[in-house]
Amino acid sequence: MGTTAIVTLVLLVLAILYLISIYNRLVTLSNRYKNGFAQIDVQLKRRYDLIPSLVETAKGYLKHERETLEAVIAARNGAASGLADIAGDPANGAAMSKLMKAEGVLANALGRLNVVMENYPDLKANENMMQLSEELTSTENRISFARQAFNDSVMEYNTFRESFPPIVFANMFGHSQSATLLEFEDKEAIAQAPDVRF
Amino acid sequence: MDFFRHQEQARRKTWLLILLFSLAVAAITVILNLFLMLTIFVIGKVQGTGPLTFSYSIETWLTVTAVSIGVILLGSLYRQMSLGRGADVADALGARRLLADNASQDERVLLNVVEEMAIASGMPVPDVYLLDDPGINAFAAGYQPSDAVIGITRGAVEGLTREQLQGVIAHEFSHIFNGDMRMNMRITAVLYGILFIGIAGRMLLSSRRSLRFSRRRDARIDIAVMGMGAGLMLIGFSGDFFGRMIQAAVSRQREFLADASAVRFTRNPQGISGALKVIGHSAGSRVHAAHAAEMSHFFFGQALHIKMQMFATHPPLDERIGRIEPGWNGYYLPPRTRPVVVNAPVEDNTAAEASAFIPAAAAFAQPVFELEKTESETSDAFEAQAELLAIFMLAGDTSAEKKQQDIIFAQLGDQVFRESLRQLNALRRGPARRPLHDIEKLLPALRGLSRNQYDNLNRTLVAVARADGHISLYEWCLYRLVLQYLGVHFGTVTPASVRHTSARSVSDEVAVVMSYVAAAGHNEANVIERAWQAGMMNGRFLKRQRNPEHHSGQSLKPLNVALTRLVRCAPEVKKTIITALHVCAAHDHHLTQDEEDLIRVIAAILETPVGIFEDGKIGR
Repeated sequence: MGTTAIVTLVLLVLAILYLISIYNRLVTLSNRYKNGFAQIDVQLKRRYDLIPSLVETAKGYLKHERETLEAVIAARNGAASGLADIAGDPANGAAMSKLMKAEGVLANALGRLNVVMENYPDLKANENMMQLSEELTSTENRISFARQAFNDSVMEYNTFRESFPPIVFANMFGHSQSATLLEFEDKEAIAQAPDVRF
Repeated sequence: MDFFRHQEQARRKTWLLILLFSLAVAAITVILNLFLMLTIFVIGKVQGTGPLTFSYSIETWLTVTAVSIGVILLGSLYRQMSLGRGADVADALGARRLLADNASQDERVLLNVVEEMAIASGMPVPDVYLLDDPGINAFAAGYQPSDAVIGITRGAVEGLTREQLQGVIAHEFSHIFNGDMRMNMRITAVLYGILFIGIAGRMLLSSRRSLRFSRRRDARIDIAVMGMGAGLMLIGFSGDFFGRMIQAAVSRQREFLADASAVRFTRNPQGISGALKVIGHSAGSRVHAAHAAEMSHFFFGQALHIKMQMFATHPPLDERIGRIEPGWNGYYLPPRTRPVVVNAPVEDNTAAEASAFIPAAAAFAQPVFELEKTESETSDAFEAQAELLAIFMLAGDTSAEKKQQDIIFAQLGDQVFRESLRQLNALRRGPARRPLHDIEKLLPALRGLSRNQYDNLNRTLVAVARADGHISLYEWCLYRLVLQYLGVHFGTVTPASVRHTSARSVSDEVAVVMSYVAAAGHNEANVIERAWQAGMMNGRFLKRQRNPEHHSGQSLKPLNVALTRLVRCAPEVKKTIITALHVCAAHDHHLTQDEEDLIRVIAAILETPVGIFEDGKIGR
């Protein structure tokens, strides 16, 4: 076997290894962003589960705020059924926008409840309530971090897929399309006045 | 802060430094080869045997290089084995694993924040450890995300707001995410290898020195070889010095990277910069745990006091804050204030009355004072403290009761005092119990105390035991048990290395301890002597004379001294000793409570499981 043959063989092996690494990286990145979406789903459910116990605890103290509590429950039920309609398929545009609308209503109702609770120091000092509101805060954070992580990983996937050598092979490996960033309807929320507490 | 740009920058600088480091290592192997070449040349010339051929072939070159790499690999292997998994690092630092089930409100917030950051960084949720230290700091350990752990000090949990805590945890996630520990481990391993060259040089130097007079040799060869040793030392030690400098520089870049990533994960520069400002304002980030020095690079802030900036593992605080918040005005932030309910002084009339009526312990027969329990953790430690004090009060003479109560009141304050009186009454009225067992049950809760609280409790316990003028054997047992179990947790008792591997070499010490055991359960002098002999025979210790002064009626100091030596025995020797002590105690076929307690405590001090004599095999 001549030197040329050996050199050719080595180059061939290196090229194959390189292709394998591109393929694996595409798979890793796409799995990461898909998992990112699953997290959002999980955390939304977690929030819907927390709200009934929150209302249950608050009920004893907020006898005169029946309407506020009922509004929270109704908004929660609406959002929960919206999430069920999507059934884990982020591509379903109509269902998605319905969920986002319901989420907006829920956020509004919870905001009002928060304002009302400011007037009940006993309720705020209740140990159970403190735990619940910590859990709720944490869940809201998780939802926004999950969105953020989802969008970050989508961006990373797209950047890699569209950069030079991978773009040549991406089609062949079944990654023909860039993933789309999730447009959450936060614009409405941003337009609202911030929740100021005195 | 443009975190993407900062991340890029820190990564690029790291790689430049790593390149520099690799070049330095390559340079060291080249210098080493050149140096060996020179030495061989000189020796050949001096010796004058054979032709003056310059024989430093390519094989020799390769061998030297291969040996250097081998040494470095061995160093790496050793390092990896000695550090182990992330959880081992946390254990070595004496941190306690946090579980959601029995977490306090603050701890639950911490666990939630960790889960949030796991989502934000797309990594599995690591185990969380709490380090009982007032400084504000945190660490991450583990080579892979799957076995990583995050640890945080109590000072950080209590002094930082939720937002700041998020920044700190995000910073630690970045260390795991970027594989910083793995990188640091590899650099350290290479440094071990370089250091080894220096050590080999030193060994060469000292071996020649000692051989010089034993064998007749040409003095010039001696000089040549000593020169070689000195050269190796110079190469190794200076290589290690510069290597460490590069390592510290890498570590500082990784801190900048982690700060930038923290902002990326939280999208909130105020969190991390706020935490840094709190460190600047108050307690600082010093950590007092036993092994903090070796692990300083895992921490969030500088864990040790560093004199030379070029060896600092973390960049200066102000520079870090300045990068995150370019327009920073230079003001630090105070730590978050939290309402302390449990230990707050109660200023009402009942308190004043209570202190005026201290001897009237019976007045507290009913639990008049219902304490507010806000945080289960703190109140657990608080109650355990009171119960422990009650056990100690019960152990002393009743005549000293007033004095004991005064001590507790003065040292630990009104609330602990009242709770301990309540506990004392409960103990008096309740059925007779085995306090040594009770103490063991209290220990987990007592670990929730801070270091300062523990020191304070420790002093109080000694004072309470001394209140009646002497420390009885039983009091000694109680105190040593507390000291042994909590001392390891609080770092005041450090595990001793093994020094004695044969039972015969510690016969003197065993004779002393045996005397106390023999005197504890037997009354007549000749029975004590026979029991003592039986014990000494059983363990096949060397022949010794029993000192009749050694019993609990006299000073307990010889017992303490002997035990501190016995701690350094090998495990088999300790087993032999415990068995022998048990034979001695059971000489009269009857094991009294005193004897059993004493042996139990000695076994605890020697860290030998008591179970070996509970199976009934011994004592025949």
